[in-house]
Amino acid sequence: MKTRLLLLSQVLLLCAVAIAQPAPRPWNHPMGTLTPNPNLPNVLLIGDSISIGYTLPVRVALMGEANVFRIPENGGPTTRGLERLDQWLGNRQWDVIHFNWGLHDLKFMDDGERQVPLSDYTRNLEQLVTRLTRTRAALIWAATTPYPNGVKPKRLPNDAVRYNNAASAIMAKYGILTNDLYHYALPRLESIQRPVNVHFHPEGSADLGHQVTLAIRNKLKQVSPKGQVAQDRYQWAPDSIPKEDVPKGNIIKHSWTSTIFAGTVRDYWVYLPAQYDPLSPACVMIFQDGRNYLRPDGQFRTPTVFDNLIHQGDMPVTLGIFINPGIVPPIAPSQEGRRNRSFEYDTLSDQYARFLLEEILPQVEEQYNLRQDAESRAIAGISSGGICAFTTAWERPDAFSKVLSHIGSFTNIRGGHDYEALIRKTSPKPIRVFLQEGENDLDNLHGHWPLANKQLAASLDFAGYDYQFVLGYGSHNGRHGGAILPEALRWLWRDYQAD
Amino acid sequence: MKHGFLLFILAALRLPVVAQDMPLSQVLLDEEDWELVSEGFKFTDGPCVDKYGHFYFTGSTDDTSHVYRINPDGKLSILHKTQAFASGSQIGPDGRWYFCRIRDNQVVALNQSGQETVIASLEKPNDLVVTKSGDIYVTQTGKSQVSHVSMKGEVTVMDIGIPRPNGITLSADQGTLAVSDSQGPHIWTFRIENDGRLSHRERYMTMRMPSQGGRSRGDGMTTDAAGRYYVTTAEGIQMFDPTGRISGVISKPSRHEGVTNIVFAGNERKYLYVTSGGRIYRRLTQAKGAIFFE
Repeated sequence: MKTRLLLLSQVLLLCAVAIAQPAPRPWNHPMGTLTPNPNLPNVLLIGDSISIGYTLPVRVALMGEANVFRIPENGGPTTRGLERLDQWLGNRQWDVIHFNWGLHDLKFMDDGERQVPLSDYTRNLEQLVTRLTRTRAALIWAATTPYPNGVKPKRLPNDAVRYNNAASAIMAKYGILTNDLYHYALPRLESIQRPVNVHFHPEGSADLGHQVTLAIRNKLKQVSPKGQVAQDRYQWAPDSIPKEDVPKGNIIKHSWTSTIFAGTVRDYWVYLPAQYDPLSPACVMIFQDGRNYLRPDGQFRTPTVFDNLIHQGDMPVTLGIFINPGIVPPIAPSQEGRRNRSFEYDTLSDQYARFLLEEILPQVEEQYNLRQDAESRAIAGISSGGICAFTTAWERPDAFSKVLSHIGSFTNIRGGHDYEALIRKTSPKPIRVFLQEGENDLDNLHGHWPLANKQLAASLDFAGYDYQFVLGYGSHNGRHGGAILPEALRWLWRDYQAD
Repeated sequence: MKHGFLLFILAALRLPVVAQDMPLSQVLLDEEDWELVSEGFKFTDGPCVDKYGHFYFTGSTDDTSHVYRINPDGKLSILHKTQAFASGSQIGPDGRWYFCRIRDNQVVALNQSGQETVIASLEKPNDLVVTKSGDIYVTQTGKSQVSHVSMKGEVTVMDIGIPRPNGITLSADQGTLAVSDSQGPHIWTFRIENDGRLSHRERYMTMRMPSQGGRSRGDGMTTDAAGRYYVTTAEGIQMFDPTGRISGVISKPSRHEGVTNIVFAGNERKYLYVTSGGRIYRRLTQAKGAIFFE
């Protein structure tokens, strides 16, 4: 696992170096960017290393809601801002700008003087604010964060407050909202900041990032069309829209009567990419609740996303299998039949993995040339389908290596809440996991979905898994997961190489 | 209207519709608790209900095992005097009471005028359920068997292999048969075929097991009109939604005594009645019991 991670970071480094490459740059690096979605508002973060620390948490939290950019360097003192602000702003239309200067201004230099004295800071900042107001973006001022005594280079204990007060007066004058990170951080400084340092632990940066996310989200409510609720702000990117010049895959419907799930019947669909070549084995990705992931007017529109990403080379040539849950059909019209979805998806066992490996895959492999190694197989699902995808890979990491979970039910429907504990005390399995979840997801008799997903992410982190957790704002539906599906697929397949 | 149309579309496309959550709060009432209805027996079991909400059970003393009736108003009377203990009973579509006489290796029927008929002889029948079409399904716990008894008395073994099949009930629409295992954690389900055979066998529900280990003691089962399943266990009365997900565990009336069997009875079949050692308890709920004889 460690070797994998090392390799991965090298790959990322290479990507970062090769800037000229038109391929999407890694967004899971502060200086990287998401593939901007033109349907979403653009957010710019301006600030020094403190803001570099929280950039990624903010970008990830707002995936599908806003394109979060940052200036491509440390924002430094106000003097650097005056020099570079025009360049940083570029000609992109900004909807929200979240900005700060101060920590570098009040720093004592080798000559024994502050880098930018308070009077200059005040004048510079007002000039910067004037320039920012001209962008017509909604502005959020972030107060300079506190620091302990004795930091190097020297900063006087009271200076943060003095500089912040000066800034407050300017913000009041221009009617700019303040995100008071100073007073947010102060009472919890010991737990979130590095010892005798102005910087924060990664967890501390994530904590600040959450505050920044909330402030930006509040602003977005004001800049978005009136009455639009937060979860509706999730918008598809162009990768989810059919394009004329992109070849389209074929979708073929099948049905199946299972013996592993005794006598159950279900439909499944095979998505055959246009680029499929029978002489060259294709990768496989299996979607639970297949019909839902397949619908051209649904929340995921997976075939279109596959068409676009495969065409762009962002994912390998991949055959999609979209499987519905089984039902025991009724014997009489007055009966409902037995729905097997919860049993198949929520149960912690290898039964579903066996169903895929012994029934569905052999059936599909009779017709198509498919890769059989775990690296070439991914599995996805929503809600109970999400935990089902995880269970399948957990039971058979030799057969599946990539998991995509949307609002996954890692709760106690049938014991799924155990995973967060199991993961910590099981030797790590070679599984890569993308977890999408929403703050407003379910809280019911089975459990609390956002907490459960946070727990799962924390356990994956603890055990050293290659995972990405994206916690958005949505509730129990596929809007967020659908909006970020292209990014999730890019992340899952990012370094894929056959053999 | 719009909503209805959407549901129609969903049904037409056979989309996975998220199952409705059924927490305990939909069934229990805050101000209600278990109420002792009858006591003084050595053992009680074989509870069932008629369409008027009368509750029936077998209560044994040292030398009798009478079938008793409790009216919705709480009045206790003897329905049938006998020495043979019945561990399971149900009213059939013909209005007769069907009993498992476990020690006599018999399934017997009792008609309205008090006449008993031996329907079938089979080894140690523990509990039974009777469908609207008159199919009788019987658990034979010691033999790990579920058998079918026709109204004519023909006995056919339908399933072998559930470790200790014990409680037995139907889904509200009678398409599914559910059998609790008193050993392991599962409640097994089957589809009932037109000829009465069982198919589509699955470990559909998983019971909460005792924290100190040991058997599930999955015992008597019943169903409510909304399709929830109830089973008495070592941990209490466990409730499952129609898709087999555990919805909650209702505490036993007494921590000193286990619960062995269960049925909804009383006014509108809104009272959950349990047999617990030598006592009968009930509690008012928001649910309504299902009946299978009509």
